[in-house]
Amino acid sequence: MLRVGDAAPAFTLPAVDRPPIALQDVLQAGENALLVFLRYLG
Amino acid sequence: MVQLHPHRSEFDRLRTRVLVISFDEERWARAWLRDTGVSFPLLLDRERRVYRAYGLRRSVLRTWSPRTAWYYMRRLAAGARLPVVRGDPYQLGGDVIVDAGGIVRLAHRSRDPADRPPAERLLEVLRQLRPP
Repeated sequence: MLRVGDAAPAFTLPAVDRPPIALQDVLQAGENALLVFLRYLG
Repeated sequence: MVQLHPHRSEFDRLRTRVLVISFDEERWARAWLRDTGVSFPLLLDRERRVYRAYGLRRSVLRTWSPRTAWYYMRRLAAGARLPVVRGDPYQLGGDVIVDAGGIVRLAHRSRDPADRPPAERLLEVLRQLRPP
């Protein structure tokens, strides 16, 4: 179970109408990331 | 999710990229972007590998909790339409803040479909992060 203080798992995912996005690229640009995991898209 | 959108400039000021992640089909994801007007990047995790990596599970019990029923009853009373279930209704969501060093600074796993941290709570955590 992921906890505060843990290293965030890296990932690269396809994006809608954009190139794929890698978490590492965001972080290496000096940005924080807020990941919002949705439920189903109703 | 939609409640975060008005805070977009504040997320920018705090050097924070908001990445929305869905496991749904691309056609529904595109329709959701159109219907909500959300302009954050929407990433697709069809196999839910990232959901699992971040500890986000399915739960039938939590999906149908009294708290959830109360949430939807209030929405109906306010005139909202209930969403059409197209995908897996038992997959719970969550919110995770990762600082620029790659460390998790907030990990909120939804206890039920209505459980999301307020935008102000997320901004509060981000304001406390030091620049890298």
